[in-house]
Amino acid sequence: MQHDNVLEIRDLVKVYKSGGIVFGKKFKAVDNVSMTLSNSPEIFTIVGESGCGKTTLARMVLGLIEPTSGSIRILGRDIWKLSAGERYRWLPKHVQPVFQNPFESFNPLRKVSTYLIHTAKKVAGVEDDGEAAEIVSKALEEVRLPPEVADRTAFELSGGQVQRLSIARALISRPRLIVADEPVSMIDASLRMGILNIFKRLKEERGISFVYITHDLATAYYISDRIAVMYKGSFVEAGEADAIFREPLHPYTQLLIESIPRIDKKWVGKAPVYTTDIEAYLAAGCKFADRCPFAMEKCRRESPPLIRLSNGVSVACWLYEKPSE
Amino acid sequence: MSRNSEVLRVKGLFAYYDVGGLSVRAVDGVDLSVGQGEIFGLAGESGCGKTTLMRVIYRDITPPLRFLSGEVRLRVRDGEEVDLYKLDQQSLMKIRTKVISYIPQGSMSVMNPTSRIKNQFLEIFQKYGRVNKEEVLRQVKEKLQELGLSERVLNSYPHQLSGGMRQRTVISLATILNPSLVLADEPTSALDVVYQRGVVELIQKIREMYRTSFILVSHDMGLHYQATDRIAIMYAGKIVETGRTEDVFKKPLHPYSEGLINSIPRIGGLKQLEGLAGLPPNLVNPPAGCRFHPRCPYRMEKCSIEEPPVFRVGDRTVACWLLER
Repeated sequence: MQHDNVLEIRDLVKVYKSGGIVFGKKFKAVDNVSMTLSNSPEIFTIVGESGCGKTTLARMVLGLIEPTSGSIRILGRDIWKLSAGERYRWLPKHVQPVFQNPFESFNPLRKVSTYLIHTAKKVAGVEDDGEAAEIVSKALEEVRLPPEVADRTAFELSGGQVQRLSIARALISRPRLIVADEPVSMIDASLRMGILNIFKRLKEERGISFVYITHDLATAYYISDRIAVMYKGSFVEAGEADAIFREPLHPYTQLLIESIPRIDKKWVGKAPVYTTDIEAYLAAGCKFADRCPFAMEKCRRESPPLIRLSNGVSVACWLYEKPSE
Repeated sequence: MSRNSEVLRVKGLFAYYDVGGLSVRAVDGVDLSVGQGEIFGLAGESGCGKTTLMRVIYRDITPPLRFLSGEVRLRVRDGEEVDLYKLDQQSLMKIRTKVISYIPQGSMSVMNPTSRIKNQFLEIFQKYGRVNKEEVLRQVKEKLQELGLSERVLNSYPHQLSGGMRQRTVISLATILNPSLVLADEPTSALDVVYQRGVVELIQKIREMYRTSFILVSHDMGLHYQATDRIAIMYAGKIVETGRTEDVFKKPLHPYSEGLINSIPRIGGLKQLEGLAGLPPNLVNPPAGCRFHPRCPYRMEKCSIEEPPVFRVGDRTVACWLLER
């Protein structure tokens, strides 16, 4: 069990319907995604624009949405092959979420301590009151919150503090994996680093792996070991974060990185203009072809596979096709 | 900047929210000026008073917001200046949209969903008397063409446009009467990076073609670096630093500006940042002396006792005792 991969996703697909029941179109919100987080802790970031499917992917890993096909294994167990009851009991012990809006994660009328002790008893299965209180105070210490916050309600705290609190809540069951969906996008810039530094420390000191979901490339660069760039449901590029930021290969990754409003370099050239609509999800070939400056005829016909390059980066683009033997 | 090229001059502005017998000091003694054709950035974290300041400049005062004192001097025609707070309602209505225009946060999602875009343009003209529809639409088309926007949007409903297109439409609606000053509150914050750039380009184009001035409110320092000529940093209801954007980013003089700029990860840069310690203050009962002193790494004894005046350093202003000679 100890040697199993923390997370293993194979050929994951989620199909949604848009429009009416009879004439509605089906589209793949998540299209054939595979990824593995091994036993050694790391921060794996999924970056993409709104609507690219990154949140759907996160929710499937958290056991909240059922995949249409494919598998998600956590510590060797296929979570969607478990019975609903078993999934409900087993999954939260090993995988915990941190969501974007921390205020929505907490009941405004309950004291923080009541909340966390409840979590310790329900999720972590601690029975003794004293032991539960100790786990809670340790969790607060891990996220550098003063013990006094336990006597307040979440709404008396600031956004940054409540987000720390939701991380503390996630730590109570001592999970192996935390799925954090845009955890700092509602937090002020001067406080963001404090939260991201907690993730880094938990990875190093507690051996927790992270799936970090974001649209913000600057924080992705700051925190990630590996990143995957998602576009319209699929990974278009994945690999070591440093390698991808140093030399983005997929035209979409290049566009994203060029568009970051940096504070040390001005944008070069003109912003490209295009529209996004559901049609692109349905296109036969590469979904980026209609926006791609390098699109070839083949791109519109045939969807490119992920091609693994010598530096370990995988890229789904015909430009990097190896000459056939 | 010489005085006669100023479009807006704000002096000693105070406006508080009255909530439950307490006063929230959201705008607490603000001075600033905006030159003709200038894109002026207003930066700061959530709750610092940026949006309130925009409302006060637009004289959009509804309870619980209360205007206390100050001047908002706007140049109406060459040389002629009016104080918005000395005008009667009728003259104020005449000036709005024609001379000063306000794009509140989230405007792109509050366009009338049942009205075609062209009717929304017509409405603006109809506010100022009877109009010849064909003639007005011809003008609107001409203007859209000049700005490089497709006239196809005119026959669309708001929901048919992508977020980036909708935001650009909102900006062209707000500038159709060629106002001399546009207040734009977080115009890009709901958009993906690639679309943000398109919106910034449109703003810069309007500035170049019509010498329109903009106040651009954003919490995103990257956006300020990319888009603005001058910048003001706001903290806890006060402006702590102003200067040319380039200079402020190169060498921030106020410790808060420095903390804010240094807490943004740079791609290819350091991966160990600390952010600022502590939290922004409560504006009901802000700290005595300098409001930043509890979080300031350079604080001296004086800082907690006496509020720093505004020191001039070349063309910059800084409210910090460190600058005292």
